[in-house]
Amino acid sequence: MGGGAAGSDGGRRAVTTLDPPRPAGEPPPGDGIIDIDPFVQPGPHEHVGLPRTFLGWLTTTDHKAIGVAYAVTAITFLLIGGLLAGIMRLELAEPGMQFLDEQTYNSLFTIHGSVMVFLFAVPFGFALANYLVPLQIGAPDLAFPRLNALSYWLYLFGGLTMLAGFLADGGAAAFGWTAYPPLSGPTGSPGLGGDFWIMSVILTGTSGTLSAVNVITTVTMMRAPGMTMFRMPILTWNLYLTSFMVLVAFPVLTGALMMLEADRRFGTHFFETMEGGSPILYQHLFWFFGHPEVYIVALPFFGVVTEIFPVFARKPVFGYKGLVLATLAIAALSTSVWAHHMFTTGQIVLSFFAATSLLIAVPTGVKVFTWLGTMWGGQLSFAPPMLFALGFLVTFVAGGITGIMLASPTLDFHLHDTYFVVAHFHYVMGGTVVFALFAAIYFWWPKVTGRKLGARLGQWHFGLTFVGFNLTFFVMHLLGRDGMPRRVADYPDVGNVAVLNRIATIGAAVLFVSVIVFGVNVVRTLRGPRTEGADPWGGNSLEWATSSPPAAHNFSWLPPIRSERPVFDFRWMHHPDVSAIGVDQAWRARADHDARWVPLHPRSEDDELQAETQPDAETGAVPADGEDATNRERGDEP
Amino acid sequence: MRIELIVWTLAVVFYAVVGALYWLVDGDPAGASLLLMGTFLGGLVAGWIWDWRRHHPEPRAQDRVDADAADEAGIVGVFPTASLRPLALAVGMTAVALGVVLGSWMLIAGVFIVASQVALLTRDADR
Amino acid sequence: MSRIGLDPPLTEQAEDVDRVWNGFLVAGLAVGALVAVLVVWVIVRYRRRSSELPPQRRELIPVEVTYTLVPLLIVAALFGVTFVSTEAIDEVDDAADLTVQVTGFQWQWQFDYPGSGISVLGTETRRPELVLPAGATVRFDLTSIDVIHSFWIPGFRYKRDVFPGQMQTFQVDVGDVTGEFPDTGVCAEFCGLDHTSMRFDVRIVTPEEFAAWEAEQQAAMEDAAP
Repeated sequence: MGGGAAGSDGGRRAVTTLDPPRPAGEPPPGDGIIDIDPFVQPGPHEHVGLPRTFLGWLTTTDHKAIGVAYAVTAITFLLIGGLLAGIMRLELAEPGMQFLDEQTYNSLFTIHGSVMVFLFAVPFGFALANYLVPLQIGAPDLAFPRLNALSYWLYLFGGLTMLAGFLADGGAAAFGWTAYPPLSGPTGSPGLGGDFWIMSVILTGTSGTLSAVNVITTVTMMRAPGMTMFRMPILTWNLYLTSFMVLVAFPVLTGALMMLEADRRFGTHFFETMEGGSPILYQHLFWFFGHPEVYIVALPFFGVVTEIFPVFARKPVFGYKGLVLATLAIAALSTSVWAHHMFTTGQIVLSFFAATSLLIAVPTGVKVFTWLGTMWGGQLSFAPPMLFALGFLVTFVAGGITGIMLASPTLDFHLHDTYFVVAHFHYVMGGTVVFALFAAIYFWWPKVTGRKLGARLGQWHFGLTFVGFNLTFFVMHLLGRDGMPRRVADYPDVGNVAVLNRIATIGAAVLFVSVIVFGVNVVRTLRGPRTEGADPWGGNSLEWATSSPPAAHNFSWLPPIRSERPVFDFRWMHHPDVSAIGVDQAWRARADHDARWVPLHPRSEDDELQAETQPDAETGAVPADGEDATNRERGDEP
Repeated sequence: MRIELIVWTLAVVFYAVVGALYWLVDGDPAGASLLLMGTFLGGLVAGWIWDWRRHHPEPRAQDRVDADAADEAGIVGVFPTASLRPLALAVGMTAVALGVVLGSWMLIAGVFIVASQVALLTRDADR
Repeated sequence: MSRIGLDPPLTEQAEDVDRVWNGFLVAGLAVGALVAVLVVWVIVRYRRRSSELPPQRRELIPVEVTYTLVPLLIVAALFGVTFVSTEAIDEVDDAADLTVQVTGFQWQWQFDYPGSGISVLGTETRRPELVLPAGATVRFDLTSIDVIHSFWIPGFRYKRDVFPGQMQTFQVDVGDVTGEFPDTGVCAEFCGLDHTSMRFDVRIVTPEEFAAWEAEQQAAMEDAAP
């Protein structure tokens, strides 16, 4: 069975998808590692890369294009949210009001938080899910491509709706990203900006719920042969469990916001005490969503670093099953801790939520030690993805430690609603959606664009981010514990409050520079030619078994799948430590199956015609009616 | 689909246990209701998987440890390519959401767009 | 804040909180230091030195069990400390020597002393002063008349949210430290436009000084009344 690489003989043979000549059971020359590029070349009729026209982008249902759209839109919102934060930090650098009025400041922190959480962090997780889940499980697309596109457009329009609040009479919503009534109710915040905010979150919430359905269905029904659940990459597991949390959490928020909007516009009194309603009901509903929400943000990025550590340590994930169990525990527990955001209301069962909140630290700790165990005994290299993954590790652990402090009502009575909490959540969010985010971008950039981001600029980017991040947010622990509350436009000029605030602003400036460095890296890289093959890093999972960028419908060839590292196992199948996995046996067994090998994708009409009429290249025989030259049974081919 | 069934059944068990515990320690009715609904969500998916397994007793290629690509050779599925429907439907849904705020003129237009796009999508799905 | 850093603990409950804080801080720093050391160790010791594949170890059950159980034990201990201290702090009994009613509104506070008929009202231009006698057990009854606010005195290490139409109660045992703590009390739940300005002063005085202050306040209110 021949089937040369597509087009290699001038297109005379219009073969597209058969196995190219494979080594007949002996290791290839050199280091013994099989080169994967010859297997994954896209066919001459296959579209490679992203849509090229405006209309193409408007109508695409390709998960890769939608994933890129999510990513680009999310990063744009990151920059907008960052800009809002920068303005706030400038105002807070000195005591007294410098150039903002209080109303504007209040809408700035409201929209900053909302943009970052709703329009950047969660959608970037969906960007990863969109682009990578089908690739990692060997599927041609997500289960429902049009629903997927719908999710993206709802996200975009929802996001624009939130920003439209700035144009409304009375300005954008100014009641904090948590939108507690009565402040967010009809008398507390009568302006249209609040209604835009509510509708925006309803739209983006719907978008996310639909995406979660898509991801769960895809993972359940569309995995490649041999990819059992326990052979899925951890990133896919995490995105699957994130989708579970989305299904539990998002509809609750959507419902709560519909009730709030009804209070605002339709005369209901769900959350108005004087009319028999209950403001604390809103808090229960909001935080039943709100706490899983932060794990929805975090889990995809835990998955990201779990992909990166093994590759750059050249070892498999340590304790795979333990990691899956820990993630399951986190996903479930995250929906039972919600009222730790309400410890100071005096109206909740403190001990129940203290117990669950402290408990969730245990599976999180298991993950941290798993990552360390993955690196332990490895051969580590420090390309930018690994640098950022390590940055994630230390930053996230710091945030986790302050989280344990806040889980105790004894301490939370003092620390709640202060800058200590702001520090805590920026550390956990910084670990995930700053460091792990850039780790993901640097790691998968070659797959998406066919080029690597510059390593030297990447190191500068990492260093500036690390320094800037800690300068900005470490001092906030001190400010909060010393007595500075959250969501204040100003502070009294006593003690070292002003100095600490100034340090935080300087840190923000350093972060600004780090983003510029990243931007330069991106622009420079995109100007260069596509140079990367299918597997530039020595990766593990199936996305490294496609061209860079992948062709339409992703896979015209799949390696045998015998572990969570199918590409690694295939390339290293002759290595003594890897052969026990069984890929080389499966690979040799394939030769016996090849007689009935059928291309995975429909061929063009020209190919069909040629296959049915073209004489067989070796024997010269013309195919009889109904036969197919390229698929005819052969004798003993090498 | 054994592992998937276990995952979703564990969700049902978790919510039943935690929900009961929460109710016992004097938790609030909203939280208890939401935890109860968690059991329904887990049960919905677990039930579907359980039923699917009843109708498909032989393991799928993706559930077998010894399967290879040839076992799923052939058409994998039908994946709709470019379509304007999602964008148009999103426009309609956004119009409905904003119509609630801005007035019935937009709401009516939005409902019309949503209805027409859903009809077109349904027609497309039958092709 | 009236001085550099955090106000000293002004109540017995605050002293309890500080002890719990120290415990959590030590535990947290220990865990953080352990992780930091392990990360540095891993980076230094396992730097890539050859292109040989390292041993492809996938699991080591004893280690995995350890790093599951030990954190569980630590967390259980932290929960025990939490449970006991939270119960103690949140306790309200009938032993109060003094009751203060706190009303939060957009955007200041009002303090009423029902026992002596005194009312202290904060305004846009002048912060209200909360005066308390040292060594007394003081009960606070709090409410709001519009949106949710939160009554926080850093020196108490304690805050309580106030809800419209509802009464909240907490109780503290004021310590023996006297002093002036201007501009230290704040509203800690975002409540709208002038949330930032919703600050108040705290002054702890000896019981004799407190009695004198009460008399002074009553006299002033009689003078103000027609």
